[in-house]
Amino acid sequence: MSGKRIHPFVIAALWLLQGCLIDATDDRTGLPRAIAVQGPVGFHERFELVDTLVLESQDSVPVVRISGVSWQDDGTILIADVSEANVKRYSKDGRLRHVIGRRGRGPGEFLEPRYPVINGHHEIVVGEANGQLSYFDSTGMFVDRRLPLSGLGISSLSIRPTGNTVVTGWPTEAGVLAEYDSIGLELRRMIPMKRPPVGDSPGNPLWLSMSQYWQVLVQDTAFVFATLSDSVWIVDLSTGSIASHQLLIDGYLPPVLPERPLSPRDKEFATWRGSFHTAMGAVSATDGFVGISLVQGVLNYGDPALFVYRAPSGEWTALSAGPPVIAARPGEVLAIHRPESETVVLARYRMLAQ
Amino acid sequence: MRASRALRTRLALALTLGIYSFGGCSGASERAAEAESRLDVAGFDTTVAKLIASGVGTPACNAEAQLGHRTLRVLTLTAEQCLTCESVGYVARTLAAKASAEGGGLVVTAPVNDTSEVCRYLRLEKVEARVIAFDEQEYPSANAGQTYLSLKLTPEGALDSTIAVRNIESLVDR
Repeated sequence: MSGKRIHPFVIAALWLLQGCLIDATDDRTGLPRAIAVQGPVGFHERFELVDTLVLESQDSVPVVRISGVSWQDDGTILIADVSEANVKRYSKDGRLRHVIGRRGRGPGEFLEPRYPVINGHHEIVVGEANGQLSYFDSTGMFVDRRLPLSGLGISSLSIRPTGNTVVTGWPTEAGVLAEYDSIGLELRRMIPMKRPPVGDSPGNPLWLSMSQYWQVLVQDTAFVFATLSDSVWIVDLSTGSIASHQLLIDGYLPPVLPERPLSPRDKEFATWRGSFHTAMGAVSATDGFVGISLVQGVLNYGDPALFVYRAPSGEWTALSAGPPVIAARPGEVLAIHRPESETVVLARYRMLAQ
Repeated sequence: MRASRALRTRLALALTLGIYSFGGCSGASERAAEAESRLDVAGFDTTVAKLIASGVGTPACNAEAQLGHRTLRVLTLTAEQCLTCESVGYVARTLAAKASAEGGGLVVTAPVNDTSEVCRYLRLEKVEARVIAFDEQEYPSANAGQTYLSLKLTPEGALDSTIAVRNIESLVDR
């Protein structure tokens, strides 16, 4: 009987707690901590195909495994290929202009090129997971190599308008987001994250081994995502303020540990790995567009994914049944047209007016 | 379909977390070089050569690739090696190009239970190679660990040379 009397209070308490979590605002920004995401709606309800682009490929210079993309205003596309250990520069019509770097440990060589960007001096900057930054001129000639001594590694790379380099790295108590000056000196570290932001046993080593952080810049604001989370950390680099928000996405499958311990070598690992969403491949455009793919598998191969984007208006929407989005420009996204085809074909989509 | 999906989802780990997977197979260190000099292939190379020459293995994929009487380069792989080492695709493509330049071809051998994943991996990595499956019993465990074996066979099918390494990238310069 007493349980029946308590029950409404429990409900009320939970309701209040939920209200606190969802409606509470960040003290400094005034933005809600949780953000309601529209949808999911079909990808083609919001984006229409403009054209496709076949990337020139030669037997001696194949495009094998796309690991990072930069799409410039003039249509130039930089593609990092982690299997070939080089970066290829294409003109807007898909012609191969330069092959930058090769496999190796020497100057101008790569072990794992993943994040190509172009800086304010028109240099091509390529980041690698080991934290190394390599600089090339616009024709692909090697210029310099720097290894910031933070030990953070690089899991995504951007260049601020000031010329400073902004990276995310691997989980660390000192902060997963770092800013370096033009000579590679660490200026600051933000977003401490010793453990992955996952609800189910965050200390489990399995999570640590799968934890990675992505960031993209919109002017001086960094949007940071974690592979194992549906949250976004919005960092105003000019003031240093940080606001974290959970994205309330209908259909998001949070990571849950397997029923028994698994290693990547177990047959069941693949099935388990595809049972939840992993945030991969953040993109942004200068107009304020930000996108992140939540994938049940591999983005490049067209596995089921939700593409969650923030329109320049600030509204967040989830899209389903779309192609793998790998880059963005104002009003447009670039996607892999048929992820499993032998020839690499990219597709340009225009955002439809709402 | 299930097998290909399994491969793709497993590749996710390698793609996303390259810094870890890379460390698992390369490590081009003096220690690895020293280990290479002491690798014991225990007659495995001659076994593989005989199996290929006698046509015992089952073509698993790219069966249309004619072996003929040509110089063959042979690389032994397991599914685990493909899934845990970032460099396998690059090295296999390089060996295939070398074999082609020599007027021959590349053959990849794999345990029969691994062939669907090995074939899938090689297709994604754009490696032109004929994959031949061997029964686990005929395929000694010498290759199941971290050893990568590269053989060269004469057009007559005789074993010309054997290289066994821990660091697969060292096969590129051989």
